[in-house]
Amino acid sequence: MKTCFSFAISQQQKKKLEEKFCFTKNEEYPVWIYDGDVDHVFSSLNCSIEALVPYKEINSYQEETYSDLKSPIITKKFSDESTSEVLDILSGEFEKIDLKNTFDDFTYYLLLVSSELIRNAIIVNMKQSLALDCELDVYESRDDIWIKVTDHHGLFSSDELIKRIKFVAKEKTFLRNEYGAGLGLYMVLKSVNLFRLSLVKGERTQILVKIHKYKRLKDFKSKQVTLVIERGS
Amino acid sequence: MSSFTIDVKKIGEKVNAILNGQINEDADFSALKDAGGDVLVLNLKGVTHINSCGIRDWVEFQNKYLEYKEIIYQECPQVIIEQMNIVAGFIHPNGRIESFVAPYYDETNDEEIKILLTPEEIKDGKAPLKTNDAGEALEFDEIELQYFNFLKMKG
Repeated sequence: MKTCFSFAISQQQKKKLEEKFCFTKNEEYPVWIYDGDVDHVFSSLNCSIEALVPYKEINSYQEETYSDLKSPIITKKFSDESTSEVLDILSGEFEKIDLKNTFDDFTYYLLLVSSELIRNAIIVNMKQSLALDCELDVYESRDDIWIKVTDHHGLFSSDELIKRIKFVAKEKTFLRNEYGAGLGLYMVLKSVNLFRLSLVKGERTQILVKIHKYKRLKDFKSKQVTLVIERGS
Repeated sequence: MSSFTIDVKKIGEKVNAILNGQINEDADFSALKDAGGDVLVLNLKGVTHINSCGIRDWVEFQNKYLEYKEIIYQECPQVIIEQMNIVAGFIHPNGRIESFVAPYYDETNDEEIKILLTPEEIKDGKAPLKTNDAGEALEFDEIELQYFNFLKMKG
């Protein structure tokens, strides 16, 4: 059984957080919820990170389960292809997906998410002079697209991920003079409903994202994002 | 191999550059390096995709090499506006946005329509009223507060 958390914050909690963290009052309420004790779980009411709020400040959350994904409709291996080549390959593959009831640029976001995840996997391995290979699987359900990128080195650092996402979201820029600045991951987070990182150190890094098949761009941009980091086997 | 091109033409002290294709780690911006002139006009209509590496390289290139009194960004597509909104420095300190694409939705015809806007049309952070051929109001199909954020961020 796999679980993910989605959070709801009441108006009362919003007001309390607003007062504590001096948020600008607007209808787009940017909050990230941070659990520093066990696994890190984030949820955002929109995709802008303005503050990290300790999990204990939140009084309730909802736990939901999702079924194991069935067979992928797309499976590809990538190694040293350029971004342009990756996009060309994936553009052809994504024609297998039923996207007729999604907004016009939906495929663009599928390509963005896929190419950024692949690029991140390759960069992490490149830094360690390891084989530049990763696998992409795409699953489709009636309402969602799931994209999974796996590499079998397990060198990704969840602490680095959190550090870089925080930096990019707060500073609105990237860490200079470094690969893997975090901007790519932030772009992915803005484009998905669920981002799940599974890490088995030294063995496997796997990122699974869910993108709901939105009909309207505006609904896509208003979506809530959940980020889950799992460690261990 | 990049699928990115820059077509540069200089007229007097104004340099007009048309950018086409994907801005990624393989994109070559060197055509803009020694173009000369006082004013640079960047038409971004043909940019189809930009990734995180491309954003980084573009921002660094602008800061290092583009010494213009004014840089004008024309016909910015949505993919560029999204990055202008999240990346500080995407717009050059001497830059201004002349025009940009905004998404609207025609509920009657169930159709998305992209409309070219200018910053002057945005009043109090609100998208301007646009209508379809029948005169019916179109719905702005983005979050105004997020989409027009770049107007506050511009250099």
